[in-house]
Amino acid sequence: MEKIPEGWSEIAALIQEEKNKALDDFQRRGFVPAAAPRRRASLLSLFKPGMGPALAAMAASLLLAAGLVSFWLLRSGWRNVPAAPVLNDILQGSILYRAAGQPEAKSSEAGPPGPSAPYFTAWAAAGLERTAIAAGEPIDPSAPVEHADPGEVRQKIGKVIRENTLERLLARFREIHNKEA
Amino acid sequence: MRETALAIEGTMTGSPDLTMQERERGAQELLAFRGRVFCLCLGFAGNAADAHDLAQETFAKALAHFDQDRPDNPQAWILRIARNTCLDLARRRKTRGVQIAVFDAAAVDWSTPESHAGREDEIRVVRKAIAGLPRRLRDVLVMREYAELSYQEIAQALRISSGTVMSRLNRARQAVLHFYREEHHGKNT
Repeated sequence: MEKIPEGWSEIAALIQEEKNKALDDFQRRGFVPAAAPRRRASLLSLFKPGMGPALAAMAASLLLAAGLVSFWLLRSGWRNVPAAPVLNDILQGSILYRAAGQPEAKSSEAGPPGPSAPYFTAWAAAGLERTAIAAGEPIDPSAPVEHADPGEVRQKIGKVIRENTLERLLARFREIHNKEA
Repeated sequence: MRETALAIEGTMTGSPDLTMQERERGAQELLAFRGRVFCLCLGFAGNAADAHDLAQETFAKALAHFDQDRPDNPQAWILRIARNTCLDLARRRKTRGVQIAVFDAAAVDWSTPESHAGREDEIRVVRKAIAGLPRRLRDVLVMREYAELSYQEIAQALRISSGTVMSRLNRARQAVLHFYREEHHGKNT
């Protein structure tokens, strides 16, 4: 049995009145339900769940390809990419690297070795081939090397390079150091 | 009625299992509840314009899912959809910080200016009281007073027992009455 509180009828009448008016208006206007908007298939819905690793691999491949293409575009082709020197060639310029593979005694007994630092030699030779300072300037023997006679400096440096003086000096220092150790 | 049912039948998603006659019958069956759906939406929304939109949305959802759900009790099913649609709207508005209109004067056309002002005030108080109810109580009250459902129908729609419906309805009415009297008492003193 429905229990209706005392005084509820007044409120029920108010609700009924409001409802009847609104309902009349609703029915007078007519009601034709609109079609539900069809859900558009998103791009993500095309992929099935569990395709994450495959997608990640694909994305990584695309990134790599894009990187290679942009590198190619920047360098205007592969031919212009300078061949990187082999690590061994680079390290060959170092006396310590060269000496590491040889017995110390042998290196000291062998006399003046050939040019063992080709990169340094090439660099120094290129520097010596620069245009000489205009001839005719007075030469001051006590002046610093940059103001000395270029011909003489070139000769001295050439001699140092040819005889590998610096490298032999370094080898000598190393021997002394090893003996002291 | 039949023309409308035929018109909306075209909006139902096609299912190879349902014949044209079954679909037409389903659409007509659903359309018979449009008044109740609208009243329920009015009870939740508090104004006719929102109630109309909510009824539209409810029917759109119902027609789109009718083939899949094949409800045993279409009235309880569509009223459940209507209630959820109304609650969704309230939630969306709350999230966006929009106040729900407690009373829409345009929904009611009163005969005389004097009665207009008086009734409008009273209805505003009732709407405010209903809007302030806890959701459980408001669901039952709106279904009973606006959609005019029986206890059994409310119980089916909300999937609760008839005893719970009666208990909640009584509490809801008491709460609304209390609020209404307090407001009146406050104005008269």
